[in-house]
Amino acid sequence: MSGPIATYLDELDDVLAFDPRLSRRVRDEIESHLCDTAAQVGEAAAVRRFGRPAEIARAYAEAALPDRLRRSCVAAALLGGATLLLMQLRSVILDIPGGTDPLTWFDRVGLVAALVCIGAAWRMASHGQIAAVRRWLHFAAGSLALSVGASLLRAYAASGDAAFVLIGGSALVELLLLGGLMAQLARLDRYARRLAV
Amino acid sequence: MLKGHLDAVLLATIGDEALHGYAIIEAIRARSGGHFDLPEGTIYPALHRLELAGLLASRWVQPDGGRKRRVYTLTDSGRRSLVERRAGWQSFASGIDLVLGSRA
Repeated sequence: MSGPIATYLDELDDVLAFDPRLSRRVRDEIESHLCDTAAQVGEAAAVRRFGRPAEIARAYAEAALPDRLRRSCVAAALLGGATLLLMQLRSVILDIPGGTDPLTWFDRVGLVAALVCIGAAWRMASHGQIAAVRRWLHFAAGSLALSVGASLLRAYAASGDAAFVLIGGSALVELLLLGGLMAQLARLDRYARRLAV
Repeated sequence: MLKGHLDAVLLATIGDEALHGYAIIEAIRARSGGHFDLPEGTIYPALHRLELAGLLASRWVQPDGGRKRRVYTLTDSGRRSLVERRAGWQSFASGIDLVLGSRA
């Protein structure tokens, strides 16, 4: 396919790149619409009547924002919960008492701070405040990074011990969970950039 | 002019039918006697928003020999929302009518 409609759809793909799934859905639907309109008024007029791609993309970003915020917060809560579960499991298996060494302290405080930040992000998401949600999720990621860093150092300190596999393995899983949170943040950042256009 | 009422107009236009975007725009234009000639690109993000809010459901259909299209139908919450919006509009419109009409 070539011509004004194809060019328009390519431009739309570019400006909707902040959400590839949405982009695919929109392309198919709008192509169908433009072909219907083009049958009446021609391709160039059909494209003109539809509106500028940047404006359409912004309208889609606004429309999808509440859902995006909710998904990001749910994902962050699940990732934080999984990290907490992992930490509790490790404590139970290794029979770690109160935890007085600094690394254990950083590990726990980092996670608690991350969970508090995720809770705050959730609250802001219900008000549709993308800037506040991003800020709290960035704080959550920073706190979680502190916790994961402490876990990795504990694993390093335990190298040679029987507990090394458990501590090291769980620290790596925590690192993956942190990566998941960063991926959610990256998606939100792309939405924020589109909404700022 | 439709700002603030677009969602209600879309829900009412779809009603009990399964309509695709192009048909919805045509129906709004026809039912409003040409008063509402909406910018076409504004309809699809609004439909998407209503779907994410659970008021609309959509599916792809492809009639024999025809083009594949996404059609929209009201969900149960969409129907309830439409009833509420209609009642709200009628109350608002009769209030405005009383105020504006009293000076006529």
